[in-house]
Amino acid sequence: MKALLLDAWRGARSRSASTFAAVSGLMVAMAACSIVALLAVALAEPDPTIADPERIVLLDMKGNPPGQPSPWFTGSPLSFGTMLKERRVPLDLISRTSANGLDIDIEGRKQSALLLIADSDVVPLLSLTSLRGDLQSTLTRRDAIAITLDLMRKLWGDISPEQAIGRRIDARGGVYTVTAVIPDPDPRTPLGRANPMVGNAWAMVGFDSPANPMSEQELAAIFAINGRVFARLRPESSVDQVAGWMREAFKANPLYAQLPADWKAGREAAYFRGITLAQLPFEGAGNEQRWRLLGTVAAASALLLLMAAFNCMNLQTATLLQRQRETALRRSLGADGPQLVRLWSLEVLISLLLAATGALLIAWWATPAVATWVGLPPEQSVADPLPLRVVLGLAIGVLVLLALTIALPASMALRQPPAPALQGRTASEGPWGRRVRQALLTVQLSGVVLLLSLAGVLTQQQRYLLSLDRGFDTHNRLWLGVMVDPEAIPSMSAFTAALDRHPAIKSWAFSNARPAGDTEGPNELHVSRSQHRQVLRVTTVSPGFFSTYGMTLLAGTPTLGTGEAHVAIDEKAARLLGFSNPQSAIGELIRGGGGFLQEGSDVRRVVAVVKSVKLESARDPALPQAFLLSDKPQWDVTVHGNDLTTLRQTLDDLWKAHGPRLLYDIQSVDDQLASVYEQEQQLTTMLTAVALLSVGVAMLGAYALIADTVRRRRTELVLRRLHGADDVAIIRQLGLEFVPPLLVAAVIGLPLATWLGGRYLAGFVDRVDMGVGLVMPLAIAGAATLFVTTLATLRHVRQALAIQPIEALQP
Amino acid sequence: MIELTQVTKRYRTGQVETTALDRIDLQIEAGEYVAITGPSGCGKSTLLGLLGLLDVPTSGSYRLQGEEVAARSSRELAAIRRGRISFVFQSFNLVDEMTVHDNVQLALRYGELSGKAQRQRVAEVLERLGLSHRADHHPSQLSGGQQQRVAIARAIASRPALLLADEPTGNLDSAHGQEVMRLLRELNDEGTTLVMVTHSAEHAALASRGVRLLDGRVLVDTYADQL
Repeated sequence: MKALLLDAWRGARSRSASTFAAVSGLMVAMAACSIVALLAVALAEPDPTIADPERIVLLDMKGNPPGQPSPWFTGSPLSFGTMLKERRVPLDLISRTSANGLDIDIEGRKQSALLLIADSDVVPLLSLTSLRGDLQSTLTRRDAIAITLDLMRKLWGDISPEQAIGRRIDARGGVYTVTAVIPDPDPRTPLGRANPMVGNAWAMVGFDSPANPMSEQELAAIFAINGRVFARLRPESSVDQVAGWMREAFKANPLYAQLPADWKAGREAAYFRGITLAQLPFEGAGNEQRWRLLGTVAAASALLLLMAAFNCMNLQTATLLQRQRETALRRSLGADGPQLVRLWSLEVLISLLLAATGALLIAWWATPAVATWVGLPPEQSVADPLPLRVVLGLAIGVLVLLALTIALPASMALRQPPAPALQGRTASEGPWGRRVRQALLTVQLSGVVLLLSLAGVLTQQQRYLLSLDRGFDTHNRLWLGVMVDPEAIPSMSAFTAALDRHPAIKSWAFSNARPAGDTEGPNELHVSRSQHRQVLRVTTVSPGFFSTYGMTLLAGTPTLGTGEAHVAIDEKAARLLGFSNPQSAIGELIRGGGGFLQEGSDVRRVVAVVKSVKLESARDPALPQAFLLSDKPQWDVTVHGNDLTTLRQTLDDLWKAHGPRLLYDIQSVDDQLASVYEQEQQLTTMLTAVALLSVGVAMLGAYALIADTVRRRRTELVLRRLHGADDVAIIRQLGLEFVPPLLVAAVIGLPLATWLGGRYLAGFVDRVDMGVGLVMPLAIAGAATLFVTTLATLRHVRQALAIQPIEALQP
Repeated sequence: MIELTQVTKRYRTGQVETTALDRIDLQIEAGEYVAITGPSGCGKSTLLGLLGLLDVPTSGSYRLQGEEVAARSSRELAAIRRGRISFVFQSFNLVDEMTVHDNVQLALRYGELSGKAQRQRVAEVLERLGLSHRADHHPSQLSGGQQQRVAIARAIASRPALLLADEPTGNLDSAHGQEVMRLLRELNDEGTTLVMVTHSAEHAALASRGVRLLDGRVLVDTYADQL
């Protein structure tokens, strides 16, 4: 075996050029697959601190009011926790959790934290631990609070958890005693998602705590997703039963009778399900989109790996053909077929193992950066250590590639009789060998056409999304956001006065949402005097909001009222509320302020109509908009100036000098818009990267085919030259070898790209024009494929053109 | 037909310069049958390459049918060669992937004949060489003698004025060798000028003129009637 290994190693080394070409292509493709696999493992992994996640369920609900179906929320009304307990369903440790914000007053400043309100049973259920104190008893006491290490340090600096126990926290009008210090949450915890502004600064209280802002009515609601309910399945129960228990509890609740009749008539008002914590990483709109992204990149990487494997197979075929004499000699010395196959397999295995090792190194090095880029928290380890299943998967991949790579070339080489080769006469693999090579190149070129086309479609759509006219302007605008309880926003008059005075600021406005970044917001049913009923999305803004965002006023003036609420609506809202034109809406009263799809009693006077505005993502239709006018300070401040750098510095300085001591963040509004389409951008970038790698791999394939063609057809080319063929005739002869693969690649790749690109674009309400977004990328991809194929063949075409007819006289 | 004057051909490999042909003077009239002989490395194949316009001399003059061709470009040489000069090789130089028919037709591809005329011409030469029934075979399915007959068919398909044969019987047994020589003789009898490089004294004796080379120079140039 040792001798065989040495023999194989010498063989692989002696063909270093082909070994290098095969290894590098495979390594890149394997690295891409490994990175995707590592990301998938990291995303699929539930919080590792939780024991038995397959038996812990999360209750899930989605509303189904007529015409307003909602997605699964991976959450439910908290009342289900109480209802299921009362109904004695076979679930243990049923626990409710709800996340909120908490502003802690400390040393004249406010420290923002995420407040987690939870039942005490959540502690054993989710295997929560404390560094100091008793978390479970903390959640049963009204005056107690648990804090994370991060929050502890933000409040009191570098003290030990022991020193934190017993300290007082002043927040939301009450004083709470720290009775437990808990570790910072794992990024995968199902309890809540860390807000970038508060990080791991979390606090925990029980539902009976005065810090819990939820009313009894909110806790009892059956149609408001206001938290999460977890429970452990008893041994005899299964997750599939949870939906039935939830449905029965929902319908048995007295509030069910109060739901509008048309929500229930012959239909379900809501759907229910239970999902285990092992399934949770795959659920929810954000996760689903992320898995779609990863699935797409995984498919592209798998295609890349297949293309690289084809190159390896091609190179192996060519190598074994060149080694006919050596093979014949080995056979004459007594080597049988299996022994030769073993030798060749070992040679290929060495290449594959080199590629796999390189791929793992690349993946280990690059995955953390890619993971952070796709939004995984930096503290979540994705590649250190490399998960065993990824390494095993790669090992299986190597074995599959070995079989795929060696089977065809070996069977062909073993069919050659040894005698002619020993006499110096070597055989070609015949016309079928050429056809196989062309077929392999066809698949590679199809992959290139497909991936380049899709990358082009995605790029065009992305460009379109970022330049789409949404009825407001995002350039040269900065947003300043504060982390504070919306009910307790402190006075900002000194800050706003400074904004008014500063010459670098053209205008500014308060709002309770970021128009470029918040694609969802509260919706309220509004009724006009003509009894037109329309759900409007409602945003509270200061009067300067419209000029700050460059919105076009069609009628009226956005002014504040004295004693009555003033509202500005957009053109679409005006039309849907029954106003014949923008002007006719001015001065009219509309009624809103109700709950979800329910009439309210707040009367609002329309004082302005702006050109239609779209605050929703391009994936959703535009909702009609209402802007409630208020001069009260809000979470979000937007400023408009001429120069972004100056504006940023000015805003930062003014806030530090005149703003309240609150946690704040400054972003450009352009960046907020880009963040809405961040996943699309990531998909575009990743697909483009894989497409470019596929170009490299396919170029190797084309290179192999032309090299083989020139070698195989050398005699013929010499004879053609001898009989008067000029350069054009020689190029035509070589080009004919590539015409079928290119044509078939176009026939396979372009329709597939059209279909997939069309499917991608169909996911958007606002999509780029088909000519620019689909036809042009496809045309460019086709031309690029032709170009790179030509480029890959250039060297050998020049060699072929240099063939002299006198070679015919050489033996 | 052919007039070489003081033709020299030198090759340079690195620092080493080799003189393959050294100031050769040679005239060949139309219709002659010339056998070029000599030991290995004496310049036979180089001379054949020059005569066939596959190479150009380092110095000297080469007039073909009265036209100076020594300093022409490869494109011009290809145009002059097309249809006027043909070759028969020791190793046949048939294309394995092509049928016998296609191999022969290759010689006509770059000429003036239409496709139909090409096919007709191929059928004629295959008929003449007794290969019609092998038209759809591949070279690997033929014997050595048959392969060389295909090569001759290809060489005469364009009806060349000058046929150059490089050891045409080198890879053949004696019976097939005799057959090939008979064919070449026939072609010469029909008026084709024939220049053949051979190691075989027996085959050289069939020519009307013998040129013996040594170290790149003409050692002996004799006509059959002088022997």
